[in-house]
Amino acid sequence: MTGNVRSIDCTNCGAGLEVLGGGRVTTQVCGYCGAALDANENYKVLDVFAGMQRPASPFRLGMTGRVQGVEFTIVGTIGKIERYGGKTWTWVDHQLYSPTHGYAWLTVEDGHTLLTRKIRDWPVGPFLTSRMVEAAEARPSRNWRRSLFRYYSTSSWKIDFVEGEFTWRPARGARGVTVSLMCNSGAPEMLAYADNGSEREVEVTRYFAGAAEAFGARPSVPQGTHPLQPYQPKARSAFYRRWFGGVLAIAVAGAVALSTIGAATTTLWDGPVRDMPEALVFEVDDTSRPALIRLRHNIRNEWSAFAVTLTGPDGTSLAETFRDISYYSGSDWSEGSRFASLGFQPQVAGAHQLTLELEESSSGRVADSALRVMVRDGRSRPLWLWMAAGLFMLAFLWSASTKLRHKAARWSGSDWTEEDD
Amino acid sequence: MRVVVVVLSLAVLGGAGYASWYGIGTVSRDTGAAAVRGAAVGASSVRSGSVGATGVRRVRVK
Repeated sequence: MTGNVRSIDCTNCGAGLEVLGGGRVTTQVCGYCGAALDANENYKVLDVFAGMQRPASPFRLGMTGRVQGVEFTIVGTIGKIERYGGKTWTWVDHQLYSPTHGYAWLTVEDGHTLLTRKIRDWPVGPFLTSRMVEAAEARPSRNWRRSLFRYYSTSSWKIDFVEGEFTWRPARGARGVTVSLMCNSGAPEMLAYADNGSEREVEVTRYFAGAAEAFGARPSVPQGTHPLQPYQPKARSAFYRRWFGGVLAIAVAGAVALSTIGAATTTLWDGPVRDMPEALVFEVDDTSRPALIRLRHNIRNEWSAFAVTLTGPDGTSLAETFRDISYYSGSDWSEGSRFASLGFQPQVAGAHQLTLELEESSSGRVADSALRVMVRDGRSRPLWLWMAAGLFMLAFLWSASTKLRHKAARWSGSDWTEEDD
Repeated sequence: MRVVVVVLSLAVLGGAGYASWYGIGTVSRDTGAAAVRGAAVGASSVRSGSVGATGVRRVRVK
């Protein structure tokens, strides 16, 4: 829908142009030929910006919509571009006009829509310029209406498209600088110190999620998180948080239970190697899970090598192998271990026979040193559940930190580096 | 999406619970019938160092 309009013919190309912008309009730029016309002097041609490429935007001149209960009309469109460090940012500013509330800006940036208005009650302190930001040792800030605004970024922009009516004289290629500060409390507001070379303004920008609907435009798909985008918790985040919290609790409980509950360890021998029986016999009841034989040889700065044979109740040989133990230490160092182990899978329940023969050693003293032989069947391994718990913990933290990640994403575009903080 | 996440996480939980209960990974590689046959066939099984030791390396041939 459109408001009540007058129209003119472009004094450069003759195209019919609507006049929508009110009495403060000074410049009208023809959308057909790019001629900038002086609205105060019978639309005299001031300049011609030929060959401009219209930027993508769901909004067009003449669209009307209600903003906070007030009807505004889109009267102008400016495409802006910023290049820095090999990167390019583009956005579109639409000038809005209300006969009762004056002028405002509707901005489209990466599919996000923002509403900007000039403010008259400037924050206390001098106009913040990019030079002052560069010279600042701490992140600049300003207080406005009892809220703290902290420096966010500096934008050195250039106009590369212009169409419609304006209260100033925009020109393709004209440059300006905007220093932005974002509300520290999380409110979706930004203060902008805008300097276009001829005038300075302080503006406040707010996120305007319902802009497309208000103006009857096709909704655009927002890309990424905009600094002013309010946090909106999603139902699925709450579900995932509860779900991963639940499976995390189960995994931890299972791991703790397996760590504390299980068959007792049986000591088969605890004494000098020299006095150890030729065969150690032990009972295995649980054949569904592995059993573990563990050796602890109380040696220091020695090594020992045992020939190990293990036979099941049915005479089946389960192991014919070796275990070496060596342990060396000094006043502030140690190397090796006094322990060795042999994990095996019992095939048949019943009496198993273990033989340990000291085959070699570093000295004759080793045979006199104490050796403890322990066995435990029905062995579990909680490590797997702990690993699963770690995985679930990461997923839980991810789903529980959506608000924090949103806040981090909002500030991630700031050009104030940590070194400067 | 939710169903996929639920099924996947249940599979991880179930698999971890099974592996933990049955002690997967705790059986030494040199035990069992196959290892014993290998030791019997291989006339020159090589042992190196001590189990769990990191600094003392003595390679000996049976």
